Amino acid sequence: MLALYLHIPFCLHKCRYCAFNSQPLPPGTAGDRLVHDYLDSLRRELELAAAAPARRAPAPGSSLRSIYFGGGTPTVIDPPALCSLLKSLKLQFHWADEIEITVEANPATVDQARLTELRRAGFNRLSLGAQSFNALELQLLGRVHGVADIYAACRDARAAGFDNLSLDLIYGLPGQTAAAWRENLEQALSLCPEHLSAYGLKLEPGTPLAASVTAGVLAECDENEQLAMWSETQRLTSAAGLRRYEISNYARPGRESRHNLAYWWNEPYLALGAGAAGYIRRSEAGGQRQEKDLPKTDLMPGGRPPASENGMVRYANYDDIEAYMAAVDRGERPRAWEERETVLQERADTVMMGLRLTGGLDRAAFQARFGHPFEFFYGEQLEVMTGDGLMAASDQAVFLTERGLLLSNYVLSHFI
Amino acid sequence: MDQQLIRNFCIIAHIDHGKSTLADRFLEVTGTVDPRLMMDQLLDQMDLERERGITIKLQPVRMRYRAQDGREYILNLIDTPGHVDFSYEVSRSLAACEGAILVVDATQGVEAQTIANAYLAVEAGLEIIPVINKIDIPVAEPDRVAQEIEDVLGLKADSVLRVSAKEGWGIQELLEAVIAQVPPPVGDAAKPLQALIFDSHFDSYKGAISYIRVFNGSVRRALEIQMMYSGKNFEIGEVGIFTPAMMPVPELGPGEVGYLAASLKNVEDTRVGDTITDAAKPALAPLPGYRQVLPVVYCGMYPVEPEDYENLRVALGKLKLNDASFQYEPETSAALGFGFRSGFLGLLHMEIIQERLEREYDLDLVTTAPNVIYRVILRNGEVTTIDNPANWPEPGETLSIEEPFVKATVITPTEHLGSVLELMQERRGEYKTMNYLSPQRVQVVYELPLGEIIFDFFDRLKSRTRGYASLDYEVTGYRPSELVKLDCVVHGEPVDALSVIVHRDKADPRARVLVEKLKELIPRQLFDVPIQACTDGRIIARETVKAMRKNVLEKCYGGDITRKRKLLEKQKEGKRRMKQVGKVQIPQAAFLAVLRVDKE
Repeated sequence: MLALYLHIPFCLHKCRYCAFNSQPLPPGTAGDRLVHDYLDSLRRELELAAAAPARRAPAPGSSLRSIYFGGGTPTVIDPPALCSLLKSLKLQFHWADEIEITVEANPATVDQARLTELRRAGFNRLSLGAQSFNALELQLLGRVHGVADIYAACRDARAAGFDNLSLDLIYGLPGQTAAAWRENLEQALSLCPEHLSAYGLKLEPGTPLAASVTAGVLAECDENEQLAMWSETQRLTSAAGLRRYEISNYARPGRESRHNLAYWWNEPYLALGAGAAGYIRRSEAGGQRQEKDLPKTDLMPGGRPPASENGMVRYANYDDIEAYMAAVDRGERPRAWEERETVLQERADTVMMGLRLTGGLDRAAFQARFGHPFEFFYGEQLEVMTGDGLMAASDQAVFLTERGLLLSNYVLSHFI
Repeated sequence: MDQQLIRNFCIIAHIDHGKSTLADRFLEVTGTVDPRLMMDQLLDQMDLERERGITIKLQPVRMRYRAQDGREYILNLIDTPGHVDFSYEVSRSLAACEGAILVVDATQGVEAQTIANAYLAVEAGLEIIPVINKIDIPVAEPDRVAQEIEDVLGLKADSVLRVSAKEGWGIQELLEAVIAQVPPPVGDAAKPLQALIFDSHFDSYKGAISYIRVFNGSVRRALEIQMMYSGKNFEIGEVGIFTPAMMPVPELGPGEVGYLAASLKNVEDTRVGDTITDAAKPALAPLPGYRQVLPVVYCGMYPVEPEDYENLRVALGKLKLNDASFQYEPETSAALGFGFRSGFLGLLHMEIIQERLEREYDLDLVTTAPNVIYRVILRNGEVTTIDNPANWPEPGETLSIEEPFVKATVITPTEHLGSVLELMQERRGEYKTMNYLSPQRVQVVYELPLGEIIFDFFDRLKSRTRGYASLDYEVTGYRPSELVKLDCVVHGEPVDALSVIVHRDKADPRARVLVEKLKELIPRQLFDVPIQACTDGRIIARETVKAMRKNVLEKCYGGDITRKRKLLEKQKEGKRRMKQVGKVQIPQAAFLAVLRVDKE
């Protein structure tokens, strides 16, 4: 197991664009009790997951290299509880020396004291959800923090000893211009983050923001503006010494998110918590008894497993917190679904995720994993895509061109 | 067999008024079908019929019934299709009977096809037994409906039976009424054979099976028969009755209903409406009423994948074995490649064939917008017909062009009368008459071009009247019209499959709606795609599908890559139903966009 994701489905307040599995924490003791119970369940799921003996005495190279506390907003929970959870992980898994331990935070939920406590407990990467440096935009997004909170949080993080700081920004908001986005970026870069994620806003059905657009109250961001923002981002980040290494991610060389790289390299990761999605070896997925009760998505007619399974499973836990906790309390793994992977699926996913990286798919790694060169499986697609100027190939890798990155959905749909 | 003990009857009704359910009850009450084997809509044999709740193909059945007078009767029920496309088949079924049960829904009342069917039955000289069905439903208004039947159809309100086919109420009484009111057949066994073919189907072992009603003489195995219209002779291999499964019997005499098999290779040899006679001792004349059924609506059918052309050809051949009224011949489209020009009795008939091809033969099809048959009078006096816009003559070549007109009858609640008249007007309708059936319901008769009816007319009528209006129409003849061909050019390539014939006055608005609709439907490509519509080589509308510039999913959902995969799979699936025309991928829906007449 190389990476571990842990989901905290709580936040201060639901943002207007958010379709993630997260809910505002009730105030007072009700909230405290819910957090307490949820963390208990998380520990229990951890014990269930770690019950496989292989974990405590890991084979060489199988130590944990990344831990990621994501949400929601993990920092709505007080540092001592988060630190104690991290301690449990230390007991259950062998950690690599260079382990990356990230915690996501909302700027309104941290101060120097809290951050110092987290840093001392071992968290060494802070991912700050800034989203915008414009007060009106923050309001539009329904963020609870102000611009000043972002500055304060960054200052406090540095003071607490975080030397690996990532900022999240969203562009392409309704009514946003390229000039407004540039101001956002400039402010973000002035804080010298080691890592920057710049996501284009996706209007998720069911969110208040999407409803406002559907109702015509807000207008979707103009496509020309979005394209201008895309190239401005490239220009300004590289001027600031950050390199785009994935469609939406930029980093100082060496500070790429190790955790997200595990996703993009299609490596296994364990995921814990309500709604969390993981990808693990079947031998680590636990007992057979429960497995047959789960909805199967990849069985052949007649329930016969396809011959080409590769021994891996993908799964997701129940989104619903109560359902999640109840299942764990019964001693069951809290799976909403589980899908046995086939070699075919693994290959398609590896391409789909790997091509998101600007460096593309490493030819040697691909051949080592699937037994044949990339062209053996995808020669025809590669030819069409290079013909249209969407992909390119070198001796070491195949990758998307700049235009290919912009049209990545179109390109990738040819590979699945 | 004693003809006094035979009753031949059918059930006629507007669609959804409960005809098939009533037939089910008859089968149960007479013990014809084992209760354990009973299922809903038993006589509707195709899955498609059960799913849509409509009857497409007739399925006759012979029932035995011991009446209150103590005698056992043979009741031959001939179920009929309840849709305007199949009115000729209905008329032949009626001709095989002496009586008809006219079913009217107690919650709806008399509808357009109730009247049309009742008139057909009167013309065929049948005894009509009016019945109000669905009286179990709380909102039923049997008194109002009975009065309507009297006012509109002239059948005495107090003689109307009231039943619930669903609950089985009044079924026995209805069967007694059939015996009392429907006259027994009066054939003569000594006269030369005359048997009416009222339907047929193809059986892979026995060949084409003729469904017959014997009027005079009798049929038996090994008899050499002649089809009086086609003039062909055959030897009978088997005669039998419908129980409803086919069961051989030695002979069918006057008044009897059943089938015969004579190793006919396809249903073309057993045309509905033809008369069968004894080849050695032929009747002097055939039974009246035969006519050749010709398609009135045509469309092009193309496989999405060119490799499927052969499969499509085979599938069409198999469907044709069972359906003589459907026609097809190979055609080539510059845009769509090799396919078939196919002719149908109407829109429903067309939809059914398309659906069966996709469902039963697993074919992905692109179908072009349907069109009617135009009559063209050329300058040299020659008259030709055109069933494909691709063959439209050059403007200078013609003296005049004619299109088929129909007499359309609509029955609507009075509160929607205004919008019905408006629709008729928009569709180039010519007002004929109007007739109040009751203070709440009115019947409107218009003449309008059939070409206007096949463009989305029925859906519009339904949506403007909240589903309450009913429609019936019959083709009355051809009339000269100012017609032009509207062509479409996508990315510089003329797309012949998108061409459509329209009235000159409507060319501009139709062209605008068409290009707008195509702009919506054609997905963005890697380059700009101009769409132009033109008549007589002149561009009258234009839109551009802008090149795809940004199509990227940026966020990775907490590691749940299956969400991303599903999104890409959807994008990929969308491509499956697209047809490559030149460099552009055009979805199937775009070829039907020409059906959209306005912006509603």
